[in-house]
Amino acid sequence: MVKLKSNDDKEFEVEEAAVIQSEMIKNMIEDGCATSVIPLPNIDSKTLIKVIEYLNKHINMGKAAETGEEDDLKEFDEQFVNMGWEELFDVIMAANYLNIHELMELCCQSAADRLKNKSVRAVREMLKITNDLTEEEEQEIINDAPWAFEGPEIDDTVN
Amino acid sequence: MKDLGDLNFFLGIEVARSEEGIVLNQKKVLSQYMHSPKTSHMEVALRVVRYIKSNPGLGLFMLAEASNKLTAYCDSDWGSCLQTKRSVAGIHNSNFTLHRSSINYIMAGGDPLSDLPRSILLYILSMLPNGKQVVRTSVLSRRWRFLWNSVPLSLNFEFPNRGSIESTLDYVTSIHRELYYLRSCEKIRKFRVLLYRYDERYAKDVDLWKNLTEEVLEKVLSGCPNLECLELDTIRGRWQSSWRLEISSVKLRKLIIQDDYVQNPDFCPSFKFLFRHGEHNLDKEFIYLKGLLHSVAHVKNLELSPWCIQCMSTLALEGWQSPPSSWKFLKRNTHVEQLDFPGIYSFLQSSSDLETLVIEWNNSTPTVSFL
Repeated sequence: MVKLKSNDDKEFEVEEAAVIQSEMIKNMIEDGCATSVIPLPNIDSKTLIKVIEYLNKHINMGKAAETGEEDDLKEFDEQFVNMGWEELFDVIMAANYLNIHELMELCCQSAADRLKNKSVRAVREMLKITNDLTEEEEQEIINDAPWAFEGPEIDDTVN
Repeated sequence: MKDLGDLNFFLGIEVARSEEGIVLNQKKVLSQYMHSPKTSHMEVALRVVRYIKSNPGLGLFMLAEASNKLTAYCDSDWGSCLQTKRSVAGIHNSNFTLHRSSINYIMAGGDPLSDLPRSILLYILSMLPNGKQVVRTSVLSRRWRFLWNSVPLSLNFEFPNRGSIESTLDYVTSIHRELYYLRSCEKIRKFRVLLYRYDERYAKDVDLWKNLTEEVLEKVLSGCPNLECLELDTIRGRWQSSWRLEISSVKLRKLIIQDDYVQNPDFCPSFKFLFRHGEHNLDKEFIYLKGLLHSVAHVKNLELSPWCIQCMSTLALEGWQSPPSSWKFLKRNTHVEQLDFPGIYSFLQSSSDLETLVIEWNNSTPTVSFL
């Protein structure tokens, strides 16, 4: 078992087989630096719980493919990314810091899927972006590439 | 006052300059407590070493391009430094992002996505399905204005509807319009055009796209002298018969040419196209293959398409001997027909170093490999 400590001083015990999906921790274990608690100063306990949930589910990914549990894993992944934007970005930052490639890919893909086909207005609202361009500047950008801002597929709803 | 030249060391921070920007590095600061070290310092030092080990070469890079926007945070991390108890302020400029806890962007009223490091932001944007959607982000706010330029783009041009001649013309025009705008883009990862109705009148357009594709691939091949592995997956197109693949890398150890010939009859990879289009000019195709085999003679792992083996068989029957090679691993991924054996025999004769030969059957019979 490996002990991880979040930045709000909560400790979590994780199986080594699960935690080595993080390249960073794997390196630490290989170098014998993980004998006591591993402090994770960039990750709060709420985010760390999510990451550990993912790691535990994804142990032995190869085995899942053999036993036909792939669908189960896919369903888990779909449920897993069903979270708010800020939570999602916290998990992305944690996955980036811990270097967990699959988790990074999953969460970034989810972010991209949410932005897919969205109108400018919808993206601004979803991500709380304050538009600091003047009206003239905005019009100029649109006039340069009008094709990018029109089309039947553009979706103005916010989710 | 004396001019001391370019800044290279200031307040314990080392500065390295290049034309693109400035790198700041503060490894000298770490020696602050060396005169009376305590166990706690040792622990901190170990943590720093662990961090550095997993992130070698990390530093701050400030772009040479100016951005005048500076966002400052006051007391964002009050009292966290136990030694000085000073309040900590953070400075953020779109050129570089400092690590901050999530509370900061709520205080600053910023947007969460823009707060992600630039590299992650670009990664997310690269997952958008087409260039149009990436370009659309340029109008979100000032920070997003030129971000799309650095996104590795996937250009997917899907034919909108299988309609009239006019709509095909519109479609072709729209591709050109989009490509013209995207010319400043740094990376193109994927370029795909579906042209439902090919017509002689579009020959020039197709030529242009073809040149673009070849240019990209040529850049990849000639720009990578250390290229070790090259996987070409289903290069398709009616122009392929005149296309030359020049690999300049001497280190190439793995070349895979994928062929889906058997599974998908409609799925025509380059070699099948070569075969088909060259029906009346088979000699030309043979010369091409001979050249290719010569140029990959130093390759260690080789997978061959069925078409390759078929052609080699024909050549072998004509008395041609495949060039001496250092192939060690050879794979062919479809079932073997009797006609293929002269080809296999021919390269077995010339490959004295061959260690493994894998022949895979596709119709669920087991993979056979022998040493």
